[in-house]
Amino acid sequence: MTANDRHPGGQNIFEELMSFHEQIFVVCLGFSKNLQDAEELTQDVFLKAYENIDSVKDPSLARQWLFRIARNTCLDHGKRNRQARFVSLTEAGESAEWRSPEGESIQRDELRILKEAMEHLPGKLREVFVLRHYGELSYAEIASVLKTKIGTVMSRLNRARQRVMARIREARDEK
Amino acid sequence: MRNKEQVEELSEIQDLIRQEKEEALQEYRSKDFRLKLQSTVRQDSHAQKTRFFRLTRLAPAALVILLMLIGGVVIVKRFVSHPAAKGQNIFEALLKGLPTTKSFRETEDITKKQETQIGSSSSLLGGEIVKVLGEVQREKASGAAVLPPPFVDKEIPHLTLKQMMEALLKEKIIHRFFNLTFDKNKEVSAWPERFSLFLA
Repeated sequence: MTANDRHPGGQNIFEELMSFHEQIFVVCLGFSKNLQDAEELTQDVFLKAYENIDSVKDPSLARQWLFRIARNTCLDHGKRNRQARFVSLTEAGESAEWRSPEGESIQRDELRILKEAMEHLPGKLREVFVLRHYGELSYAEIASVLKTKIGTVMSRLNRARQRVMARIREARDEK
Repeated sequence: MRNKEQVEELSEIQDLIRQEKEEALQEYRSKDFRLKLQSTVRQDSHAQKTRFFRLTRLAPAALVILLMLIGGVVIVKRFVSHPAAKGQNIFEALLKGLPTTKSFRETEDITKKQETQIGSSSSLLGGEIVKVLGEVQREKASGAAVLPPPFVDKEIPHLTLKQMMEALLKEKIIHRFFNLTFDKNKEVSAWPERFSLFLA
């Protein structure tokens, strides 16, 4: 059964959505902070999208719909793996090895600090931060994905940035 | 001044995120996501199809079982009479055959009288037989026929287990006595010697 069997323009919409797979992947990376998890989550997101393509009433809103699926899937994954996700600083350093070429310990440290700072963000601030900086969505798009007002998105994003910066500052001062 | 610092810090964070994304994407692009997703989708739709086929196989089987069950219930209802009523009849018949308390009391009265006449020296078994013999004699003298089997004529009062056992023992003894006297059946030959001594 293909997407076309269920929805007249289902296949087209799905093909269109497939062009965002990299963006979805980085959003999943922002939430999970793990490459393997991000890949699996991206697959899950597209599988869910494929299964529920019928529910897309307005193709112009399909992109926001896809990001909403991504956000919900990542939050569910986070809830399921809360304990596993709660990693110590050492473990965080180890899990960051995949993306760090040898000898680039400074950069690795910075990434570790960023990861730690993001992990300490409350859920609502974190999702706005991830959608903006990883997904590169506009304020309006974020507001549509989260079904909230643009003003709320802006204030949350500002608070998220402040907190992340404060954390990074603290971590650097400790060194 | 403060704003400038913040902007710098923010751009630093953005740079870090960009680096992180680029490295992750490099790794991600090395695997063909589309191909992977296609195979996953194919597997998923195959799983859905098998689920559908399983349902299409299970549904008629369930329907047949259901029909068989309904048929069975109908047959049982039509051809077999009400089992509860049947059971009731059996119990009624059994109850009719049971001795009443009235008959128990009569037997007790007679045995008490005979006990006083004969004395308490005889053993339980011998005494019982003598009691029964006395009863028969009394009946012969009065010219009355042997008492018809008692019927339930009033509500049965509650009897203790001991009382019931006593009544049953008496019944048994009477039955054996009649067998012994009027009918030479197998039981006589199997009767213990102790008992024949009493008869002698």
